[in-house]
Amino acid sequence: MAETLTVDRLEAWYGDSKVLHGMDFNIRAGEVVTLLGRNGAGKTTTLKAIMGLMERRAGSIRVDGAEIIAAAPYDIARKGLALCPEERGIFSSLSVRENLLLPPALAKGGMTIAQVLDLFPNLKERLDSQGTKLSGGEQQMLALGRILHTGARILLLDEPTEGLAPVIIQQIGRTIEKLKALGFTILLVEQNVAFASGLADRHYVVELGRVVDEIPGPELDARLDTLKTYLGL
Amino acid sequence: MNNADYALEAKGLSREFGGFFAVRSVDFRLARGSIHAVIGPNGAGKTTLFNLLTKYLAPSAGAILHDGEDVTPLAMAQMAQRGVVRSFQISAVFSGLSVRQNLELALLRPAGIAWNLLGLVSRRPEVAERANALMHQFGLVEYADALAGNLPYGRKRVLELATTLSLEPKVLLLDEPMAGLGREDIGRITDLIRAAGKGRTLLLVEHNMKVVAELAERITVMVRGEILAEGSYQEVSSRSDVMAAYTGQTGAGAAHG
Amino acid sequence: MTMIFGVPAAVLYGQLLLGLINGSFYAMLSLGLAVIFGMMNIVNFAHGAQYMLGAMTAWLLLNFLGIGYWWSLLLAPLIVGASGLVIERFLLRRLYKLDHLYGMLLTFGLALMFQGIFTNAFGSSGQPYKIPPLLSGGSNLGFMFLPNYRAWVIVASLTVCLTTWYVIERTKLGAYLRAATENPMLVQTFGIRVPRMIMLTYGAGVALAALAGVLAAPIYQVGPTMGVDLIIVVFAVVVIGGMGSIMGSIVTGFMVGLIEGLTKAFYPELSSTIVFVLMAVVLLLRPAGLFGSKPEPAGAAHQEKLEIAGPNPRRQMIAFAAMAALFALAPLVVYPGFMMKAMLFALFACAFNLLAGYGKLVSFGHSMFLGTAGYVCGHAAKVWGFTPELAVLAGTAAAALLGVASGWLAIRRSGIYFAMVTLAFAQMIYFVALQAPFTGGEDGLQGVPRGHLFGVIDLADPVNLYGFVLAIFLGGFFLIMRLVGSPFGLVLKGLSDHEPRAQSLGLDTARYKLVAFTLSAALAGLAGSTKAITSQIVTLSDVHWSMSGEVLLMTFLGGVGTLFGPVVGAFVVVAMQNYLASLGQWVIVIHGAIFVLCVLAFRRGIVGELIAFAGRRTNRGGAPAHSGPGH
Repeated sequence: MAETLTVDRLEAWYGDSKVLHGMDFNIRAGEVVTLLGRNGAGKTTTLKAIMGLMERRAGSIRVDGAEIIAAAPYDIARKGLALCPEERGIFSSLSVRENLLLPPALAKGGMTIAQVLDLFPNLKERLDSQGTKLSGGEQQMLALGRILHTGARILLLDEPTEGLAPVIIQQIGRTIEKLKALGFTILLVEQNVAFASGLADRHYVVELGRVVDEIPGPELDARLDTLKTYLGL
Repeated sequence: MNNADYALEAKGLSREFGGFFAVRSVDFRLARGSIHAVIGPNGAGKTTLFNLLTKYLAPSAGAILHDGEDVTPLAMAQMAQRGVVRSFQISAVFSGLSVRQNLELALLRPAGIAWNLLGLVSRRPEVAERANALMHQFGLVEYADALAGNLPYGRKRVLELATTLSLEPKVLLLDEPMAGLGREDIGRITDLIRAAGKGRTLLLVEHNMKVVAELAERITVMVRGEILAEGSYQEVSSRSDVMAAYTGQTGAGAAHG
Repeated sequence: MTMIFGVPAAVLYGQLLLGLINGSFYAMLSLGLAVIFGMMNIVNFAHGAQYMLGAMTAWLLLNFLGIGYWWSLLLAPLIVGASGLVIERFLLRRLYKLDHLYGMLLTFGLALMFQGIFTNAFGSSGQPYKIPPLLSGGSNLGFMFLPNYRAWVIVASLTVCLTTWYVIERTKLGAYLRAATENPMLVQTFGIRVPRMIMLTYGAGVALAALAGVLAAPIYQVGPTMGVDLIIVVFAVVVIGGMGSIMGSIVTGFMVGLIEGLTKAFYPELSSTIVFVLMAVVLLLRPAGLFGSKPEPAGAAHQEKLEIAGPNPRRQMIAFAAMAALFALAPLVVYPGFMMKAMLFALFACAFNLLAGYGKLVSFGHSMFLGTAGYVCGHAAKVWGFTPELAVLAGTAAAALLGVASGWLAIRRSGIYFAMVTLAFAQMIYFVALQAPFTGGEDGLQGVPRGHLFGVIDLADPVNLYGFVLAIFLGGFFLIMRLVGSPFGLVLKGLSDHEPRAQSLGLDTARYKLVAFTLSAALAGLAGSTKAITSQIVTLSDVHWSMSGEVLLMTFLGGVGTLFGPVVGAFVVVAMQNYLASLGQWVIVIHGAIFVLCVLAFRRGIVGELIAFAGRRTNRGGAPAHSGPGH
């Protein structure tokens, strides 16, 4: 399979503070790949940098061969990328319906709204509530659901399980499996190793702004102790 | 009363943000003279708890006691005047002032001259000498006249720590002192914090487990706005529900939120 | 005749109608301000000028092209809105990463330019604009006579406001706007070109102001200054309502208009100040405004660094001595009248800078301290027969008192809200001065005696007078220099840098701010009082908002946050006024252009740039070069 997203020597800064010190990794079409690592390692920053949200970044990010390191976020979105941010980014001045419909369809092949709602039936009854009145789990589903109908093929998911109860986490896990089956390419940032291990084809371990290890999906359980050292547990 | 043994105590402390409880009915005690860490996954409510304890945020419900006295209605400045001093997660220095001025500014109030309108700061030996001593102690001498805003990130954190300690606080609260630091800075700041903890009560929010294991005598684990576990590093790290909270493996206690 | 609470019913209804009309314009303008602020975090000071542009465009279309009211109603907003697009694209867009005050300063400069250009071209007096024939006449409602055009304005304004509300709150386009207001970066990741959306929003907000201008043309006189006083009232409306909610802006606009109308009927003396009194009450009881408010954006992260570290007290003393010698000898070569005027403005600017430069509280209403002190000093000298030093003292004390009162309320807000609040208070003082018996109203307080200093030294003697002014200036400057270098000054600088951090060090920041505010007010009053003695006249221009604008200009041109910058700025501006006086209103255009230039390219000001230049040259590598997040 061809590489669809290639990240080379990616560096990024918050003000004076350099957070990414040369990230190297790639994702092939249809894969689910995770970035694992402790807090502050630079996982979220990596997603933001890919999406064009870091003001200062350097290196190379290619989508299907096209360079996007200097592109604006709205142009990056047109390359078929979509972000589900860590803080979920549900708009409080918008209803659930408005939140869901907000991102415009930029390419063909996205899900229909009916399909999205079938995927997250909880949202159906809450369409007219204020976006931020939803529970944490529902907000997560909304944040994920709203990027599925845009035609984006590469989904960047930032800690979709954070702060959620296990039963919701399972539901989100099943959703990601379905998305993979539908052919979405997914880059997942996770702290929840158990969640990631069941889903991903490959794992990259991130430490201090660099990729320090790559673990194939099936080997994760065997190498859990190594991983725990990485995570500082 | 038993509560005199605690430097800070929270009773039924909650904080709500538009329907979402970042901290929910937390009972928490910070024993006098201890080094205590609050850990937990992202979004667990650690920083909110911290902001509540230092009165940076007002609680939605509950009470905060300092040395057994109810301090819930006080402002952050008054907490500091009582000797409860905090640092911030995003390094908080006065970026438009020099390193020396940052320290002098902190020393004015304890020296009783913060309301001096016409004297010159440079003519106050007790402030100037103490600022010099602190710069030596924290390795900031070469940066004395540099604008704090222009310092390398690691030095900013050192300066913030030095400023906080210059007040000789009885209770010291550090919010993620290692955030954004490189490996070489982490070692040095760990040593500084350990030294600072002598004879003080110290509470820190920290993600770096190695640092926590090295420093903290007691650890509180927060998950989803509530306290999941408390104890020594060995006690806490051996609990399956704590590991579950971190790694997501479905364990016993993690199911309830 | 029917009476209602002692007021004839016809008068009451008439005033209520007038209130409704005024409320229509308040609502439309504050709505536009709220939309622009929501998207861009910019307080569009040019909004009043753009309202004027709408009316002027309609007038021009009629008189030069024969295009009538109805076409103007469409064309004028389009033309003015298009000019807004240009302003956003080429000017405002450069400011988004800076403190939000810069946007307010830049649009203030634009407002001055528009006003000056149109005054030059068409004179300052108003031009009549005929009511379109379709709407002339009126109908008798039984209890009152309702002119058709006024009814139309109310209906049209309500329709515009409610349509805007509907578009923003109920449509897909509005959802984009609301989302981009909350989190523009995230909206960009959905493939939406937010910068273009911001540009169009500004254009639409400006077009709304222009539309209000066209509606207003047949009611008020069409003239270059028609928008200025209005925009200040609208700022007060915005503070009362809070800029967070669209419906809130509309409701507050109409409500304030009605309250004003009621006041005119029942207690006319208070009618021009009631809005500001309301604002004060709201600040006391509900500082965020009646309809909540978007939390004040934290600008500190991107603030320009205006000062290099470690001002050296010894070097300062040398510079001070040099300045003292220079100014003492200056009358030998420069006209003393110019020197005295410039020194007093310099003191005024230094007083302003104490608050704006070191406390980062930028007041848009410092004229109230200059003018109030002038009036009190002049009155004390003229009517009570005070000797000059006592009269100056009385004026200074009055300014200090006003400082305590207005500061106590104003420091509840910061940043742009602080700017709007101070501007509104100053406007209230202006109206008081306009109406109070002892100010002489439009004529000013004339014939203030210079008298004998301590009853001995005759200030009618030019040498004595010059010495008196020089001593006051140097004394005031020295005091400010000491304040800035004192522990208090250090606290002030620190709290403006990072207020929560200052609080976490145990400093009660609100009290320091209030003291700084009061000191700044008192020193501005010292300048105003002395000015009353030297120029022997106090006029309304001393309390006018344009005076607050001038002190802003002097300080920003010379270098805000530098000790000598305001002095340099004051001398440049006063010289400009003296030597360019023949240019008439073009001076205002130049002032505006300097504002725009300073904000865009020259934020450190003259002295700030010199210090930075010297700092770069002597940089011995101890401090690494500044590299901000924007680089």
